[in-house]
Amino acid sequence: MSTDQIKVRVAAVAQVAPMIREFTLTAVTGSLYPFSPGSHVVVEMPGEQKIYRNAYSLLSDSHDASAYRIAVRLQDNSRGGSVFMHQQVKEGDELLISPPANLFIPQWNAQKHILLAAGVGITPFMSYLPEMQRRQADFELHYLFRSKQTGAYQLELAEQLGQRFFSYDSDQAQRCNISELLADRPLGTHIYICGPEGLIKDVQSVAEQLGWPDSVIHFEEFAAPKPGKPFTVELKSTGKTVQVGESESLLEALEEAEVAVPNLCRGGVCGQCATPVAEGEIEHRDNYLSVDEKARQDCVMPCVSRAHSDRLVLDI
Amino acid sequence: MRISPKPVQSFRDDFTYTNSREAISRFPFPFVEDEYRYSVNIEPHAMSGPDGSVFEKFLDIDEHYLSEMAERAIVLKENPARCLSMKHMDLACWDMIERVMSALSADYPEHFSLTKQGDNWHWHNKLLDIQEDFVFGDSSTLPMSPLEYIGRQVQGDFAILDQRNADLFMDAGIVTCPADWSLAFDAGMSFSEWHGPVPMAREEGIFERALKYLTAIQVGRPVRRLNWTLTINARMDTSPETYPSWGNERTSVTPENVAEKVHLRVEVQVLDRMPRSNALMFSIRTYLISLEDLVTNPQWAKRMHRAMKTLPAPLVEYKGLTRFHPMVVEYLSQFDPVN
Amino acid sequence: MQPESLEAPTNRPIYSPVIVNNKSAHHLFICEGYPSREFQIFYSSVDDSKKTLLLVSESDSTIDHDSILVTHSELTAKLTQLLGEMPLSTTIYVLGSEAFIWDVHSVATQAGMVAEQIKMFAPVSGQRRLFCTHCYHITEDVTHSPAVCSGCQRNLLVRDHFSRLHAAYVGVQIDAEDPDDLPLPQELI
Repeated sequence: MSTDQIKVRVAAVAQVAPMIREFTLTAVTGSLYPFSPGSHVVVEMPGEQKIYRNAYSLLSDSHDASAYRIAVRLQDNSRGGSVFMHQQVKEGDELLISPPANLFIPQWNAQKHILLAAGVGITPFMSYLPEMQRRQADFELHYLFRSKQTGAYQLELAEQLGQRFFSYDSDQAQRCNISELLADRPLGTHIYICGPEGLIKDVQSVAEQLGWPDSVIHFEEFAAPKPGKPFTVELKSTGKTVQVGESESLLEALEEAEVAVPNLCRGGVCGQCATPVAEGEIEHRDNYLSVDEKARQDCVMPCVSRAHSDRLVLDI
Repeated sequence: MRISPKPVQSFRDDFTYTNSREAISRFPFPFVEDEYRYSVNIEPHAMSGPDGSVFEKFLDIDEHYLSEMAERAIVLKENPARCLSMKHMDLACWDMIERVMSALSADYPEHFSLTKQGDNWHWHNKLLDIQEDFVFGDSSTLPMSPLEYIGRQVQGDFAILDQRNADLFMDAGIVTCPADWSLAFDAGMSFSEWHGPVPMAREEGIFERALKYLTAIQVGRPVRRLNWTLTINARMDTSPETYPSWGNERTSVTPENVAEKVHLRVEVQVLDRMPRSNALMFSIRTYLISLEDLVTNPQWAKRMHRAMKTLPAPLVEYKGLTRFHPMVVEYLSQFDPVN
Repeated sequence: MQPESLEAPTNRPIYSPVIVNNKSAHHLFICEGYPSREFQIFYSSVDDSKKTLLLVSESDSTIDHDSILVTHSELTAKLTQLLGEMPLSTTIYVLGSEAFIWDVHSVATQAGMVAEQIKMFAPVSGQRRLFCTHCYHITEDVTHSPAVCSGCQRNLLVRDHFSRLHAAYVGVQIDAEDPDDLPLPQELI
């Protein structure tokens, strides 16, 4: 347990969509930190085989830090974390979480905010909405989901947001046309996307054709680390070797072997886990290092990136 | 044991400022090696620091509290623009109120108390005899802007840095004892812009790395670094704004008065993530000690001599030491056995 | 650390060569005074239906009967109005003095544009706007350092430290320590 982890109690569990469960977390002692819209926490899940750590957006109103709420989608090819949350965690259980961190804060100087959520990607926007309403910001929410699996909060959102709310249920053959969504937007518009990589890429590609500047596009992709071929990692300082399996990340394998690596987002965005590499070929999968930095092959983000070679020597 | 704030002394005109023996012993002496070396020297500002040290508490309230608050009031009266906050920084300023009031009331309950009932807060500053009932987050319930209100009650300068587009911006601050930088001019600047005038090793990527580090600072994990310069007389307000009225003091140093006139000025700079706004609070707490008082510690005297002797010329110039630096080195040499 | 590894401190904007952003739906050209030949050629390279020309001048000068002509004092209001009608996919190209192009930058940013949408040509002259750090007064068209502050009349050293917000360099009294030590003015480059 890292020194600043917070012990929380699961005060309530609710099924908010066929595949999504919501957990209300309260402090066991003292109080929880206030937080900013778009924040997430890393939840530690002590499974039987190993400890899972996943980042989840806080979906409560940031003005109310009496409890945190998170929502977890049961992943089709879960690596263990979401299954643990769905099957093991009950009301009254205690969990360890990190303090909130924010890598997806609204651009308050924008004149128009377009929020684009897919499935469980609605979660960060749940904390945006109350603050945007308080600030009387101009926004619209576009929500893509499959009602047989996801679509959490759609009814309350429709009621609260009225004409600012647009839903697209692909189980009812409703599609969101990205080109139409982005067309004819005025200066000062910013778009925020939380969803799978494919959706983010679609928006980026349409925006580029339309001549949008890159910096008005904000996205958060908390995709779980993708599997890859197994490899061996060696620590240069001690010679210790660690095996990285097909379905675990380098960071997870290091943690399992009790090699401490600072980390924050566990999704290749924040840069906290950057680790120097002495030997071996890196398969970069992060959004943090620049193209030049990646080409140097001397630094790896172990939360998502892996090795091309069979062996990677870390300079730690 | 902690020293109580003592009656008001002055940082201008007759300069009645003094350090007690306890204050001298806890002075944050910045040189850790016998040679000046540039380093980023950033470390966790972990609580609690060593007992009685300036790092014991998140905010250090010491014997100069009343004097520094009186000095701040004079500066703000002369020039209200020494405190400024852009419109979008309101929430960050409230973050600062929460952080400062919570820390002071928890760490110095004999001097400060805070009572909350929901958003209705009651604050009592016994040292300055201030009592306030206000609604948290509602600036109209305070007698002045949130930043000025809290800034007048806590030692040290504060800049609140807005974080957007992976950069930091100097968008709010209360700065009445700066080491030669102007908040009014630097307002709105990005991290690399306001560091532009600082001479340092511009090795490739140094700014990018520093910025990536600072933008990743997490809630509850503040960091600190020390900075230093030399100041003539115990003058807190060495700002560019007032430089015409104190610049000539740099010519007043003689071999006879160097120990009394020249002060080592150390800034304890702390960076702390503000949870509600995601801004960074950058506090700059200044400590002053005369060379006369400093050399009462033989190890400091020796190190100070070596650090001054090996200080690179561009830094002598940048820090404004050119006119008296040789006299400082000469005076300190008597405490260094090698000479 | 060796002294020679310290570089001269400076914070001046760097101006990269300007090229047309072909992806942009609209192009707004802004020029202070009479446009240079290079600027005219640059302007004519863009399709007529996708561009607007805003000329800022105190006298009547026009190169294109479709251009909009305003004085400096009218600039903020006119530019804000124009930008309010423009699509997100807009690029600005601005030519003029350094203070002018950063004034345009401020107005455009206020209107919601982001930095990468504002393309700035290198300033047409070495004249600088000066912010007096003692009285906060602005002195325009400074060509030499030290320069006299038009507010407090002090002799100011013009430092290479630029504020985009003020569109100005900082000036600090040069003879505060020794009133007899006043260097001869040097031309700014």
